[in-house]
Amino acid sequence: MSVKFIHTADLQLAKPYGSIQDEEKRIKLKNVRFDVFTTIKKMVEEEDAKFVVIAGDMFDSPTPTNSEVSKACGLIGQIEVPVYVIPGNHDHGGKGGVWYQDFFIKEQARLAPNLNILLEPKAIEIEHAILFPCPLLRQHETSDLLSWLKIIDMTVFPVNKPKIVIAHGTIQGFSGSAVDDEYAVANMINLNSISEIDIDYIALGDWHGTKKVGDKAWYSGTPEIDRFIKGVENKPGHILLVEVARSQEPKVSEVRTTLVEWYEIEFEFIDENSLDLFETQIKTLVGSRVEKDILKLTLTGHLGLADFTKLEEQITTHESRMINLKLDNRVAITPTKDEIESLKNRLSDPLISSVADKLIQASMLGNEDAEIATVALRELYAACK
Amino acid sequence: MEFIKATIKNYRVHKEQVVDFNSKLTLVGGDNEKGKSTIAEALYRALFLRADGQSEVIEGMKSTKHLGGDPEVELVFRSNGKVFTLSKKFGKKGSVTLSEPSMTTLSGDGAETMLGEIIKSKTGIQASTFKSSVKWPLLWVWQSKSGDNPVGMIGESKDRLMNKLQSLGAAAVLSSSLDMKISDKFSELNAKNYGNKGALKVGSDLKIAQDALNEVSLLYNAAKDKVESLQDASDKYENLKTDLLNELDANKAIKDEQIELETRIKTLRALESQKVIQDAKYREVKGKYDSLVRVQNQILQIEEKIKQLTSKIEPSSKLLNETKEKHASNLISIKEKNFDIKNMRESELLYRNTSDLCNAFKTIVTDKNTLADFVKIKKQVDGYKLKLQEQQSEISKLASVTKTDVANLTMLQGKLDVAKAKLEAIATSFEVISSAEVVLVDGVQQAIGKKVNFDQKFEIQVGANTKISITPGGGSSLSTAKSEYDQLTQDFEGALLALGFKTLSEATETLHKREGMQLDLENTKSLLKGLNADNVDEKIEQLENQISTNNISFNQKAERYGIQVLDFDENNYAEKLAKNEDLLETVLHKLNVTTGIGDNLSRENEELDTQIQSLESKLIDDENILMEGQQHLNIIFQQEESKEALAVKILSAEQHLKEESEALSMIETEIENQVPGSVESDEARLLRSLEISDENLSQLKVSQARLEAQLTTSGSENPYENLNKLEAKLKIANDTSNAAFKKAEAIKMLNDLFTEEQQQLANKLTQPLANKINEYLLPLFGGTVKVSIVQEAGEFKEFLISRDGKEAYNFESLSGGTKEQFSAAIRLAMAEVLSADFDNKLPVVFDDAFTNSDKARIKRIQPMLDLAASRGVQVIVLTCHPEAYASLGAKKVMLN
Repeated sequence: MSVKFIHTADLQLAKPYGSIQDEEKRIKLKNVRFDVFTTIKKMVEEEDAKFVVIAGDMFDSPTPTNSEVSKACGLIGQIEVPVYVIPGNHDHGGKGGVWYQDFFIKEQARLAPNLNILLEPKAIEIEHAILFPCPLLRQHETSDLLSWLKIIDMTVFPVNKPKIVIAHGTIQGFSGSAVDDEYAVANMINLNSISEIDIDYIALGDWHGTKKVGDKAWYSGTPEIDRFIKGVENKPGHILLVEVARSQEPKVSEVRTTLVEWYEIEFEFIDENSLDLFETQIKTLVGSRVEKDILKLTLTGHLGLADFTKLEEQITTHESRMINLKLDNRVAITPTKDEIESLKNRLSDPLISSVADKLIQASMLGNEDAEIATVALRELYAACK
Repeated sequence: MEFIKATIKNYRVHKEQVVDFNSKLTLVGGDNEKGKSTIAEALYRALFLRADGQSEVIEGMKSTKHLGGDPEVELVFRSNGKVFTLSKKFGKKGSVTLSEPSMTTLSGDGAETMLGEIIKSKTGIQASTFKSSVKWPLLWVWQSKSGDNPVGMIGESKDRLMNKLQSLGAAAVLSSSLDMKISDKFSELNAKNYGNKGALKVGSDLKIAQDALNEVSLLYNAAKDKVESLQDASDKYENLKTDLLNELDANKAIKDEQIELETRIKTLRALESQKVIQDAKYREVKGKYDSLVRVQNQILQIEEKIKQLTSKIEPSSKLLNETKEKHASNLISIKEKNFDIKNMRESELLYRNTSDLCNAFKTIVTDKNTLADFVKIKKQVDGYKLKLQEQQSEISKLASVTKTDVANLTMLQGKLDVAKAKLEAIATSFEVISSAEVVLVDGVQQAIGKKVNFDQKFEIQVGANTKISITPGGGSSLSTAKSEYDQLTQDFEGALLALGFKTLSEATETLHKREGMQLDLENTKSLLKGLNADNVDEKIEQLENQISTNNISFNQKAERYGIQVLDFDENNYAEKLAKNEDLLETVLHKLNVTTGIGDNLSRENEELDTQIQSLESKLIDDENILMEGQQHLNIIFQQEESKEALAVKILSAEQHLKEESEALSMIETEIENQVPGSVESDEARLLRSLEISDENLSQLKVSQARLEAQLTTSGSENPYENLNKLEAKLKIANDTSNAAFKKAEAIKMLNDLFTEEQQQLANKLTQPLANKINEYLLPLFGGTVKVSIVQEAGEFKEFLISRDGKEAYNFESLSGGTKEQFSAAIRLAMAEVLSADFDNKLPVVFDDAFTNSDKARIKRIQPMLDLAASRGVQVIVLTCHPEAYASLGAKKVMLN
């Protein structure tokens, strides 16, 4: 007898996106993460999934606000099957975490009776499976999260129900948390330690890209992309539809769920045509979409004084259109020949020409003053226009 | 433009003074109060002061000496090759005319306007504003103002000067208006950011950005602290849960231990009751056993005592007997010695009596001998007494004359001799040795060669005519001496008669005889006295009595002693006495020895007596004890059969005792096993541990509750979200601050560069002027002098001078002399530059301008003035020391 369920993790609801200055855009991006529940509800109905497993980090922090709690509970309550959640490192199961707060407990009871928070490493038999939750009770757990499984007497469980391990952390040799967690050695999951145990599926959380890390072990990845993607292998923005049966290899389907796209462009300005080329590239990627994309721009190369100002104007436009524009502008301002001429060769203005000459020289020294000199040159250039 | 001639009328001291100016150098000399400065003033006012008007200025110009009318100045000057005559009459109805041969004479404002055009300055200045407006200050060096800094005098000449300087320096360019506009813009922008001292200004973009950054930093840190404290509390809570479980386990363990201890105490109590019973049993058996052993020991002790006493009594008895024997033997010896002593005492008495008799006999013999001696002396005395009687009778037969008598006679004889001699001395001897005339003495002719003595007055007559009276001895002395002599002769002869002598020698002889016989008598008297036999008769009698008494006493003693004395005689008594003394000595020695022995024996026997008593007493004691012991044994053995039977009893009791002791030991060992000593401390320790554990538990629970409270959030805000937002804000604030800093620094850089470049440009412009000043100073300070000009914002700011490549000094820091020389050089250089606009000729008036320079300096000033003159400056020097400028080569005008 096989059963279908949905495996997701790292929803990181209520992620603040503090770096986004525009408050409306920030709230919008924050709210998008809740929309995954609508997708899940739809898929449960379509695929006849029997339950949902969230393998940690449902919330972005252990202290979401009451309204965020209500929102989450309200949406989960709409799903017609049980939802099983373990705490992850972001929303750990320690005292003080959301799971112990009065308001959550009440809202859970009122809005989402189908929501089950698994706060103890203890086997749970549900209608269609046996769950082995490995909750994180603190942000950084240093002992092996799976160790308790080794002393469990597996013979006591019904033979026909598939056994599912739910855990959140880093598997050996593959660091899922390296991107934003400083404690890489914490929350270790040693899959080899349970290789002898008769487990049918291991639902993992923490790594934001969807990834199969063993015959039966999968990271679902985050359902809503929350960072710029590094590498082709990394595939965030999915949930997994898993079909599992006793002693069979699970059937896993990846379903793309992300609503916001995260793009990354690296561009080098080489000559006077580069600016137009850059503009074309952006247009090709984003078109005339507004508030749909997040873009990371890494700009290098050189631009003249006038072109640099044009670039700044363009960037302002893009910033306005995107949900967020993360800019790493390393473009060096290098006055063009004409610009240099226009500043230096002013027979009628001897002061300006000699000051400009000095600034151009200083800007080429490559020291701290050079940077200041470049800014000064821009100011002078602008003042003379 | 150059001055040619000035005529000054009715102007202060001047009635009418004409000065002809040399085209190059004019020296106006004259003592003080001669009106030198008035000439400088008159020239200046002719050029710039409006003629008509009524004011203090014009009133002050009027002459008090010459009442000829209003002050007038006529100035003839050349400009652009034309000779102009400017006439000004100052006063209420003053007038001005300007004429030139080729033009119509101008007057009033027309004249002033044209004058203004020629000298390129405002002229015709109203008297009311005249004092405050200074014209051509560079060209007029007023008295006592020669040391003023010329930088303040450039004034209206600046633009003209700059203009000329720019045309002088081929490379020099002026900054454009755009230059200045942009320079000013950055200066303003910079001033918005930084204050004079470089401090950041409130309200500047950078300051606002920095303040915002600080504010966000504080908020960020607070948010970070909050999140961290939440995380920390959460971790602590998990740890606390474990601690609490551990403490609960420990608490339970202590309580278990307490129950164990209670069981132990119960066991101990039971064992201790058992021990009390067994202890009593043991003690009973032990008492029985001990009393048996005690009896056995008593028997042994008494037997031993008897044995000891028996062996002690035997030698004691023996010693007692021996002592008694010795005592008896000593008594016999003592008796014998006493007998000997008695005999010896009898001999001693005999010898002593014999000696006594001998001595008595000796006394009698001695007295008899003395008596014989006295009888002999008595015979001698009688002989001497007879002789004395004979001698006394002899003496009595002689005349009784004494030594005094003889002495009296002798004294009288002496006095008589003296009276005689005196008489003889007064008498005068007279002798006629030869004479032709008859010499009569007292009428008596004196024969020749006959010596006659006179002892009274006499007369000498020589011849017939010569009579001489001579009185021996003068007055009456001759008669006095004669009567004295007669008296003495009578006294002497009377004395002799009284004694029965005829002469003095007879008396003397009798005295000597009498004295010899007296001596013999005395001799006999002393012999008698030498016999010392005053009482010889008494003594003889006394002795005879004594001898008789002693004889009686001797015989009585002999009878009493019973000693025969018939054989005693004068010859043997001494021998008898000596023999008897020897015998006495011998017997006394023997007596002494024997008495000593006897005494020793007596003392020994006294000691023996004591010993005997002591020995007897001890012996009795020992015998009594011995008896008691035997009686004690008898009593014991009345109760016990025998010693052997007693030993059997003891052995049985010993076995019994051993059994009871073992039983007791077993109980004690069991008690020991329960460690009774530590029960109390264990009890206390467990109580204490429990107390501590309970306290720990309660503290842990309190901590848990506190952490729970800390970890319970209201859900109204998310600290993690706050932190995340603030982190982003902090980054933006940081970026903004950095950008603002860069921009502010860029503006500052621009401002600095513009200021710097401006200065360089200015330097280029003023360099020709500095060079000229340098040239003028060369004769004064030599080749190493260097002048530089500081400009700021297009204005002359400072003239600097340095020598020998050393530090540059500004004008104000120079000495008075150097100031007026430096100032003169600057004025001359500027006049030279400016003269380009005045057909290369401009006058410079020095009114007593070098008062701080000595003669040597003034000498060196002259080449400077000469150089200026050669370059188009019309030098006019007014001085009260014209002789000092003798080598200037100037036209000299002396004021009278």
